[in-house]
Amino acid sequence: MLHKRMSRMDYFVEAILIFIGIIICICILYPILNIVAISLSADGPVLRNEVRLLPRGFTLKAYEEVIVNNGVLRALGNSIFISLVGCVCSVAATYFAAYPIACCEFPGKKIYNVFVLIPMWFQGGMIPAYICVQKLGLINSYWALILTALISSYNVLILSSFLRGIPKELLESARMDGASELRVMFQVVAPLAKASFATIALWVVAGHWNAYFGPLLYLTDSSKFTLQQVLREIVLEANALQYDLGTVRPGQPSVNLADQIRYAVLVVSMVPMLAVYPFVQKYFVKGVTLGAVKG
Amino acid sequence: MKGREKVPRIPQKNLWKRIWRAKYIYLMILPVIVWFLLFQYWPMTWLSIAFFDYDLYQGLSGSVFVGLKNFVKFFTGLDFWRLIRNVLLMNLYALAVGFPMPIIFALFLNEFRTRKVKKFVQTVSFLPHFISMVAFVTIVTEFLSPSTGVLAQIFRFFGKEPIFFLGKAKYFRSIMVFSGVWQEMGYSAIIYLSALTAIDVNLYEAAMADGANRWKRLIHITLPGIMPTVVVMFILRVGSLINANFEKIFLFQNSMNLEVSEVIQTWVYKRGMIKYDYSLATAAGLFNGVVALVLVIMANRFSKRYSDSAGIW
Repeated sequence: MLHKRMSRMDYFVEAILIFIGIIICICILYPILNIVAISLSADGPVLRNEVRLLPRGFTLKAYEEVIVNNGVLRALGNSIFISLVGCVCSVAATYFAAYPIACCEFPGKKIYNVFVLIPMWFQGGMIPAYICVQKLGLINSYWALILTALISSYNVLILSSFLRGIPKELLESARMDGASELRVMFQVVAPLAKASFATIALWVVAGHWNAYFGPLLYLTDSSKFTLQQVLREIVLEANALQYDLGTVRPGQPSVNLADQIRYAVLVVSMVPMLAVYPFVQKYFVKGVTLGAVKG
Repeated sequence: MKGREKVPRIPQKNLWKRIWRAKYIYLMILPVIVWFLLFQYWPMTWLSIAFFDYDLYQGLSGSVFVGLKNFVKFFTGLDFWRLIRNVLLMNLYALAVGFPMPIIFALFLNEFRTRKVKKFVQTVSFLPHFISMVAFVTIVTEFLSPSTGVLAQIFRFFGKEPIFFLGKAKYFRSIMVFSGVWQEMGYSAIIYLSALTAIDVNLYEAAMADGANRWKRLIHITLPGIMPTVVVMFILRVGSLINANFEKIFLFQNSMNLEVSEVIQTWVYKRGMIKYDYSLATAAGLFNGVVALVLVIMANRFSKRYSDSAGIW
């Protein structure tokens, strides 16, 4: 159908569609680009509320302020640490949880399967989870975030339903050749499951990077704060016009500079995810589809 | 799951042999089981504090068993019906507006003949999904700001006085719902787009041979083609209703919209983590969890009845 010759009517419809598409894109992009533009603008235009899509009086001052500000920089490091370590741990753990369900036969497999999936429908909830983390002594530790989010039953479901699609003969022949289970797992199956690892890795990284409520519960020491927490603090305190990041300097419109810094932090918090996702888009499209069909 | 052959019953002796043969597999899943016990099942046992008057310093052994007192307190409390009303109204509104939008968007994308434009629009539409909730709420707040926001400028352009949207409780639900469309429309459309690609191309060609125009093809082929997916997604959405958007609500909440923005989970957080009333908060949380479970089970029943392939389990 797509390769049929287009009639004049079709060209007309296509033009309207493209027009609507452009409007949708503008609606989605404008609020984001506006933030980016303001973070790159000089004080004057921002104060006069003149900045739209492009920065006025281009300056990187706000970003310099962010870089020299220890709080933001430390939070950035914390977020990167949690996201990367959490991602590696989660993908490995999810693989260990999902592999036996999909590729092995062992007595008690059904019970194990149910055991892994129950938390998808019922959890202890906020307060019990908090008490347990507290009892384990993980309050104010990054491991509280990494460990509580280590395995998600949903991801196990996705991964195991993908692994089930790998031909059993492949595994059997490797086992016949005397390969150990770990060898089968890592040298035969893992290379075939790269796409679903990428999907889960993206979900976990995005989850950790963007998380706010988990850190709010488990990290109370401000030196341990993640970037999202610091951003929230800055926003709240800027609303109260109290945040003194890069201010208290005679002769400067201090409140206003804080405005740009706030946006600079906002941009820094958004950019990694937005930069990564177009490259993994095709994986997560597959993953979401699989998830919705199976889940 | 279906079509699995019936496994013949295996004598006991053989079972031990099989268990022994699978010892490495057990070793492999042992850490997984330990993790699940520690971080999923252990918290579930702590739900029992809903039946106690939990003492923060004495622990569970030093707490008094009070039976259903906390539940009675929660159900008869002044907040209960307000919470239920807020959860219901907010989610029904979100369902009415937020559910059809991705479908319409997917149909819209599907009509594109120029692949590159379609791809571009789609990629852009995913973007907001990857913005963190904190950043998202900041952007929306900025967008709606009565002094510098874009909406305020549009209002001024038409000679109207800008409104402080976030400061008025009556706008809260609309802000939640429409910002949700901005954030999730593209991402939610993925599933419908993949359902669209599964429609048999021959159907379209046959319809075109019969002289059906674009609109007729959309109504008679495309829509029926994705209908099963739509129904299943709708059921699943209803199933996850009670827990929807907690972080977003929490971040948008302020003293001016508390009357309409307080939902069960934000209430649990305040009771438990700020007022340290663990038992009452856990009772409310348990209620929330049970309702969510019932909804999911019901949703799954319905979606199974509707299409035999797409149950959750």
